[in-house]
Amino acid sequence: MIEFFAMDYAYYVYISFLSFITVVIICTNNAFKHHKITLDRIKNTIHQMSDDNET
Amino acid sequence: MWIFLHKMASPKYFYRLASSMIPWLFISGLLLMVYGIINGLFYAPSDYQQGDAFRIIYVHVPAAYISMMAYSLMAFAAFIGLIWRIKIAHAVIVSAAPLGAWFTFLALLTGSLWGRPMWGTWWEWGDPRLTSELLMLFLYLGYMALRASIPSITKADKLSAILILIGAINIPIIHYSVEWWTSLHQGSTLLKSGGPSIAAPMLYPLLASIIGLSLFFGSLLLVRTKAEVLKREKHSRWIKDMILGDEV
Repeated sequence: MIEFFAMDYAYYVYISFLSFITVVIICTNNAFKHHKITLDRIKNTIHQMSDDNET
Repeated sequence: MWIFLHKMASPKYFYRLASSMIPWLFISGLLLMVYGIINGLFYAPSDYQQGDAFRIIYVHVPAAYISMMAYSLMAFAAFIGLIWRIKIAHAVIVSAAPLGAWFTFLALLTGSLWGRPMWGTWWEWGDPRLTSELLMLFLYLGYMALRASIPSITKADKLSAILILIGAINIPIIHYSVEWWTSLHQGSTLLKSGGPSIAAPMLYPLLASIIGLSLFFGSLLLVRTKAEVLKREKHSRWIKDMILGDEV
């Protein structure tokens, strides 16, 4: 196993891996948030319409 | 096959199938990525020429692969959407574009971080692989800008699908650029005649990263496509039934 600080070009390697993890987190967060916001908006509209019909 | 594709064209069937597939793709993709990254970063042996800088391959190659795969998928969906006018195909394109743009940006960034210690430069305008990959990032951004500028969904679908198909010519250029022209960028490591030119302890984490990120990308694409289907089908009876029945 390579030691954490004993790696050649550690700066370039760790920045690359951190960028990868950051992009994965951003994409995951965006995808699930986007779905949740859309679903909540449609749910509210449909429940509102359903309540209006009942009254 | 045709029956399956015919079923997939139904937004309701697609939505339900996507909901059941997402957790499997997400978890298996994540596990493979974690395995690939930890092994690539700490356990794979150093390269005899590049030392530890070669470890950037474990994030650069999967990102570059996804950037090309996402665009190829968009081009395929654009073809299906234009010829057979299948709505799901356009929803897939809309959903793949931001993911593709992010991973293209990541491929360029990690490539630059790899280039600096190995080539002595962050960027080289004369290199065909670098410039064609940058062109792909502009194609993704151009696609999103074009869609955002057209208010009618049907018109936006059609015009942006044409743009995607025209831009698809860039895919073989990116792939073969290192063979067709003199390039700073190294040749293909995995997809070459005679098999991959990389030792097994280095190869397995790389394959795990590529397959893991592909599965993970698949799960995120399905989540985004589900949201796009909801937006496009919000007036449909099945959406109303599903929400009132709480089967989401």
